[in-house]
This record gives sequence, structure tokens and C-alpha cells, in this order.
Amino acid sequence: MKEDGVILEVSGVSKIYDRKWVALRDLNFHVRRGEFVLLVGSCGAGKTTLMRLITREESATAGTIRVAGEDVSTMDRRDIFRLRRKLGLVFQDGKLLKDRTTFENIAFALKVTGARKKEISKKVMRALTMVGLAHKSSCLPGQLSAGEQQRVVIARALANKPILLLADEPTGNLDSEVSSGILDLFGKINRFGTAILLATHDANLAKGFPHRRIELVDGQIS
Amino acid sequence: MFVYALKEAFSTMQRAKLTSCAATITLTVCLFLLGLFMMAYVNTNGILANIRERVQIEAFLSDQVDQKGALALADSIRSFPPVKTVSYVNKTMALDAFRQHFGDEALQVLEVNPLPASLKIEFQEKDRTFSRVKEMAPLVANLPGVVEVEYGQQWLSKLDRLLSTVGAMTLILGVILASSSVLVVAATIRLAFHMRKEAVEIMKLVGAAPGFIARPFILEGAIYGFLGALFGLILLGLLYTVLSSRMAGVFFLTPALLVGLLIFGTLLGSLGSIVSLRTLRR
Repeated sequence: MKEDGVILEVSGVSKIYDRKWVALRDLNFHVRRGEFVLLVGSCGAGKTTLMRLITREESATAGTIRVAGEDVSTMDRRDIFRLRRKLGLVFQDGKLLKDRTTFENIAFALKVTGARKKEISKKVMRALTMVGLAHKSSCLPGQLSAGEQQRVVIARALANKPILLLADEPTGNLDSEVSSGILDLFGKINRFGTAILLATHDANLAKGFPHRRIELVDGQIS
Repeated sequence: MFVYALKEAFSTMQRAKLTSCAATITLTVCLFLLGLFMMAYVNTNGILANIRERVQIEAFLSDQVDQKGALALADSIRSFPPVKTVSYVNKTMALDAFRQHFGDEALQVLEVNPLPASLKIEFQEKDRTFSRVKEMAPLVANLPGVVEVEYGQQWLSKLDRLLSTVGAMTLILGVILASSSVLVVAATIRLAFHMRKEAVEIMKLVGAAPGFIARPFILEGAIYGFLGALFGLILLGLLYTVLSSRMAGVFFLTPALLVGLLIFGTLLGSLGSIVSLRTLRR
């Protein structure tokens, strides 16, 4: 990590598809350690594209993205998994394994990243406690509400203690009351020191948000 | 990690029982056929090796060559490096041998012994090949006093051709069957991948190493290959038991070939998985 505490640094990033469709144009911003940044923009503004560039699901056409000082844009494909271990990812479609319990879903994420068996149980319960679902550790996803399922996804993203939590429309499928609860949960997580970059199109959600906001309009920061 | 991959592989196989069975059966058939051709090659080779043991040139001598001349001739032939022994068979010995094989009646009507004296030339072990014998035969035939040489040229060349044909067929069939096996495993693994698509996506999302994600699939392919080879060899063993009870001198595959076929099957299965994963990655 850089000494100035910058965890995510986006410099001059552009993404152009098929040489003509400009999804992102010359983005410049950063997220510091422990910071909570809201990325607001309407559908098609380029929020998801930016998230995909940060996680290196796609490569930027121009510019550099640094996560904890490491240049993501030039990272070898074989090393991308190391980058993802540093990040916690929460998406609208949380992707939980339907045939595994809440506990097993989170344990699975730890297991596949090489966590020791002894640590897994402790880490899973800590993450579930953080999202307030410790009592539902043996429930299958189908037995949980949409809001609870999203909390499990957040717990899974948290379990590995990421340096940066990336959330792309985490409340997209939820009603306003549940959404507000999820946003509160992110606030709580942030207070424990995890940096968060949360993308949303929901202007109401952004209202009264006490942290820094970046507005994205047609692929540019306005 | 290996135990995890093994568990995942077996769990997918269990969930897609029908496809797993189909893949194993196809591989069993492919590897059985491959084993069958290998067995045919081994047997042809065995027969030929057995015959080669007895490869020799028989040089028939003119009636004008007496015993002294024949022995001098034998000495000069013995000086050729590939030659191991030269034995002289005079007219009387040839007649005795003939009688032993065909009985007395055959030559009773003749007043004279029509059989020529001959020199039996045996070769050093390494030189008992058709090409070497073919090379030597004209040299012997051109010696003074030799009227004809005989070394079973026709059947020896036929056997050599048969061995080459069986060898080539085994190779061609091997390539065809190996390709089919790889494709079958690739299709099965593709299906397995789709069954576990969600888990794979989550693994990528949380930062599982590519090797960790691929391992269960490669292992699954290897299991199909190994089981296919194992069942194929069991079928081959049964066929051998039936054949050897009806025909003498049938050889089974050597232990090295058996192990080789098992390894080959396992590698084929793994290769099928790798092919499938590469296509899916694209």
C-alpha cells in the first residue's frame, strides 16, 4: 500500500468498445484507506464497466488503475486471482450456491482461496455476526429474504478481510427500506476500517449520504 | 487441495451419472479396441520373433562338389561376420531327413538319391533379420559350387509386411481412438463445467487460483480415462482367456504395456478436460 494511504487510484482511464463506443472517458479519482466513496450514475453511465476494470474482468483502453499500489492494467492474467483476494466484491446478483447453507457459502469462498480449515469456521462466524445473520448460518439461500441473501453476499465478501470492498448496485433488487438497511450495514463495515466503493443509480439512496460522492455521467466524472 | 478436487470431481460425476457412464463406456470401448490392436501387434511380433530365431540360409551344392570342397566352402562362408555357424548336410543325411519327414515310400521308385548336399548357414542373433538374410543370400549364391539358395524369402517378406501393416493400423487406429476419446471427455467436462458454472463464477470472484478451479475438471477427465482403460483391459483380459483356451501361443500384453495403456488412458482423459477448459476460457 502506498504511504499516502491511497488504496485505489484511477488515472486517465478510458474504455472504448469496438473502437467507437466510449464507455468511460479519462477518469481520475482515488479511494483512500478506510474511505467510503459513493459512485452515482444513471444506468449506462459506466459504473459496472469501471468495476469490471478494477477487478480486471476487462482491460482499460487507456490509463492506469492501481490497487494498493499495484498496476492492475498491466497485471498478468495468471495473477488476477491475487488481486481479487485483496478485494471484496458485492454485486446486484449476489450469486449464492443454492444447495449450500449460509455458513457453507461463506466457507466455500474461504476454502477456495486456500484458508486453513481451523480458521474458516471462526472467519465465517465473524462475518455472519458482522452482517447480523449468525443465527441463520444453517439456512439455505432459498429460506432467506432478498435482503438477507444480500447480507450473506456481503459477509462472503468480508470474510477474507479485503482492503477494498467493491459493491455494484448492491440494493438493485431490494425495496427502499431494505436498501437503507444494507447501506447502513456498509456504513458499519466502513467504520471498522474497510474502504468501500459503492456504485448505485439510486438517487434516493445517495441523498443524505455523509461521505464523498463521485458522479458519473456518460462515462465521465461530472 | 487434492482431496477437495477429488471430492468435487466425484460429486459432479455423481450428479451427472448418465453422462459420466456414457463417457466411461465410450472410453472403455476406445481403449479396448486400442488394446486389441496392440495385442495383435504383440502377437504378430512374437510370431515373427519366433520365426526369426530359426532364420537361416540353405545353400544347395552341385553334385560335383565333394565333401572336401563343401567343407572348404563352409569355411569361406564362416568368414562372413553375420554368420554364426555353417553345417554341412551331405546327400545321405539329406535323404535320411527326407525319409524321417515323409516316409520311405516317397523315394522308393527312384534308383538314385536326387537330393543335393547343402550347407545350413545360421546367423548371429542380431543379424537374424530379413534384410540381413536378403543381403547375404546373393553373396552365398555366387560362390562356386552353390547352385541355389533358399531362405523362405516369400513368407519372410510377407510376415514383415504383415507386421508393418498391423503396426501402422494400430498407430492410425490409436490416433483416431485417442482423438475420439479426447472429444468425448471434452464434451462431458463441458457439461460438468456448466453444472458447476455458478460455483466457478464465485471462485473467480473471490480469487481462487486458476489451477484450483481447473483441478477438479482435469481430475474428472483423468478418472474417466483411467476407468476407461481399466475396464478396457478387463475386457481384453476376458477375451484373452477365451482365445488362449482355444488357440495355443497367444500372448497377452506385457506388464509394461498394461501400465502404459492405463497411463495413456488417464492422460487422454486429462487432455480432454484441458481441451474443454481452454475452449471455455475463450
